Amino acid sequence: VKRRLALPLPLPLLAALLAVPELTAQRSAVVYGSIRDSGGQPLRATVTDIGSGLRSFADNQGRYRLSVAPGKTVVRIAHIGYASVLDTLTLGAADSVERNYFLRPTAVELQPYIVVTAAKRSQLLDQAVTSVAVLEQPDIARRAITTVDEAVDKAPGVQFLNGQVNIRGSTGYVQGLGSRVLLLVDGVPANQGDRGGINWDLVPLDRVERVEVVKGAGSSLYGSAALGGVVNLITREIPLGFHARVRATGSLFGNPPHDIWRFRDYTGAREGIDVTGSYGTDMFKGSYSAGGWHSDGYREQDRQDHWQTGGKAEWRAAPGTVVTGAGSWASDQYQVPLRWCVRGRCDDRGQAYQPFRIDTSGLGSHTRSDKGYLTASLDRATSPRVALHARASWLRTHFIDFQPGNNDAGVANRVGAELRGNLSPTSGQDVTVGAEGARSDVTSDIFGNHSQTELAAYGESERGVGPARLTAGARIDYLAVDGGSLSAVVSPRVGGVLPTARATWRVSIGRGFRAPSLAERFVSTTVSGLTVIPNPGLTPETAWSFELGNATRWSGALRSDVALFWTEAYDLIEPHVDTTLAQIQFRNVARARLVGLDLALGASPLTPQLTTSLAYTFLYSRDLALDSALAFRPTHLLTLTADYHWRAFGVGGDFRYSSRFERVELYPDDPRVDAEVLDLRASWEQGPLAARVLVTNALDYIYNLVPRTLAPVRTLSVTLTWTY
Amino acid sequence: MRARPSHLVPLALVSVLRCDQGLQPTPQATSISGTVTFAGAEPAGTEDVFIVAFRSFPKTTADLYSFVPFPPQSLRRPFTGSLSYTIAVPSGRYEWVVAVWKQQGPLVEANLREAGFYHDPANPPQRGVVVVNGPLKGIDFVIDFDNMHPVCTYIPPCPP
Repeated sequence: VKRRLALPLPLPLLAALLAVPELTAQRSAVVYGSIRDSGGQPLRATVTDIGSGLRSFADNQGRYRLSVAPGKTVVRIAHIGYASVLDTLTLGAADSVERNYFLRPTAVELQPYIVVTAAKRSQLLDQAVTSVAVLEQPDIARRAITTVDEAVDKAPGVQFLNGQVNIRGSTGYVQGLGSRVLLLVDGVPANQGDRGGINWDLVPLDRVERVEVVKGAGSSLYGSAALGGVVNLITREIPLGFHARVRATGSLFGNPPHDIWRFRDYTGAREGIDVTGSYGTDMFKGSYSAGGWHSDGYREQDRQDHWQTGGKAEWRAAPGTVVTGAGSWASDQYQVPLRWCVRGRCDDRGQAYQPFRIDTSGLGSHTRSDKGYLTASLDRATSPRVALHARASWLRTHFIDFQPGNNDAGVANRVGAELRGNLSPTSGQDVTVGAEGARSDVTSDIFGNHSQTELAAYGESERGVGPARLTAGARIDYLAVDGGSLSAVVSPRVGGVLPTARATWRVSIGRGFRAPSLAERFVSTTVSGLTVIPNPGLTPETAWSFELGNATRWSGALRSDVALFWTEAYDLIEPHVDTTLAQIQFRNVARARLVGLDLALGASPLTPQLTTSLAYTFLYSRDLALDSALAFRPTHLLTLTADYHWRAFGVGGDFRYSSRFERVELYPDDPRVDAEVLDLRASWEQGPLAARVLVTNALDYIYNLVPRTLAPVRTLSVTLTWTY
Repeated sequence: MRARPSHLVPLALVSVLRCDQGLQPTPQATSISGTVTFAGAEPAGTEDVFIVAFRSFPKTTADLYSFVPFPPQSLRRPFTGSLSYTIAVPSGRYEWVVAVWKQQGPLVEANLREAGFYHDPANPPQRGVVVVNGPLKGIDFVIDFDNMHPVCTYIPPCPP
């Protein structure tokens, strides 16, 4: 497998990167020690080399070890609920220095996060020119959730509609076709090659260390699909020594709150287990994980089985040089509930609709979905001013939809490669340049046999001008379908940040685009008696995004982040229904405007053990062609969070409010309500053991966000984790 | 400043968190129901017969697809004798409650026929207008397979 991972990298490139002569003689230095709280309790904190971005994690005894390049190094020690520490060290080659740290409890992290997605390099969060929401692993663990989409769903300004992610209302709901958000796994694009959608179960949540959500157009660095934003899943670093982790989860789904909605005579359950093992030395590290779960589902015809396996290997070939290989494979077999039953379409018991039951025309529908990816990357810090990154990746998806009287199937591949340099030519200037290529292909009875090639080059420069930092860059993408002629899309971005005494202002304007997916271009099928016909002439949809933001620390207990955003979208690809010919075709039809405000407040109102946060998004969205609201966008989206920790115990909750959609498609006359969802949680941690209880939708609020699709009901989950 | 958030968050929570439980059982659906009586023999190639309602009588072929419920609800076979039907519709006024016969093939005008519609009891040759505020019963009419009309009967021209 290792050989196969390495092969896609051009051999001359590998040789050039590995054979920098003056560096082969260098030897790395080591920082080691322990991290404890002020009471002496060990903390499993992160230790980050600010310069290289390399990180290490303390074990459950609080011990850590981090290899760094010789010379001056700044390390950051961080743990959620504690004030971070920055430490400057000067180390010689082969030095081994012990540093022990004690962290002071604080509810609000005063030191800035380090993010890697907004500028394709490590930077402080408050130096990013666009809004970035960060979810760290302790926060993910504390929520006791089990899937990646659940983790992303509670980020400020983010909303999932039946698995389709919206950042500031970017995508709406188009049944999984053509996401306007780009998913990255460790920086590698992972949207499907055929439909352009996202498989959120591609990476097990247990492998995710951090999630970064970049809001607004990101095509100046990432190209297609980054029209509304970018979600980057950053997988766990592999610690030194032997480590293992076993996580078992059991859930019970609430029964319908009204007897007339009952659809089965037992309580549905979900059970799963994940096992991860890893071993690391200074030179080699590897981890492997496997797991699966079964779910009865919370509604009729909703059973799911999921299996997954994945691994990661890391080789520090030389000081400052890391070769990484990673992969994952997931297989799902699930029943497809389609839409819920309305009067006359099932045993309706005299009801206008039965939200837990399905339309009998969909009985028997189920899907088998397999997906996986392989990546190989090489990171090389050739000097304190130059870092190079090369990677190759392969994403494969395979589905079979079993439907009464009509089965569909497809296999899609997306093969990609990227070469990037992060340079600091002068003090205070950072330059990112790179080239990227990808080829997607599909073989399917409904999409045909087609391919799409994308070639791109990009560059962005950031430099200090007085107290401000200004950024300017652009990317040019060349697209070709089925080997045809190339069409070009240019995506520029300019921005800046201006720090003041206790605040940072940021402003940016950039262009985003999304190339039509192969499915949108070539789909040929029938839906509800209407014929869906292909449209090979589709052009990319584009958008200009503007943002003005401010992050302020009001006091040690309160901070805020507010952003005004404005997006003008052109040629949005939407299904166009021709009633005369009874046909549906994807066309560049919509011209849209999304304007709004994002507000996030973090506070520690009473004690350092109590943390609270508020995130609110106001969205004004208009379809300018129809002169109406955009479908499936809430005007108000509010998330309240509170957590309290006392010794080994913790309790907390999230409340999410989403206002009733002003407009929906398909069934506009159906009753619909706003969404009010309360999640409650409790946890206990002692040494290697942790137990967490989660009650999602504790109010058992019955609602739907997409047409005739019941959102999850009250669910009680217990998760037990053992970590070695 | 420290006290402010401790007040803000509970206030925001209380203001938003109401006591309703979202969607509720809805037994009193607005609907049109009645009995259809079949006349004539079911034509060969019949794929479906369904009953739909139009808020306004269609004037263009584009209007033909502005019906409720969507997707249309098929009648139960066999298409003989009499049959009770119920279609769920939003409340409002409907100018045409009509049975549509569809022969096998794609959903295009050439494969559709008007097979019968609800008549005004006071003026039987005319279409009957219905106003739906709840379950509306007694909307009875005949589906006559021997006297069906193509779309162009209502929206000309007919092909030569």
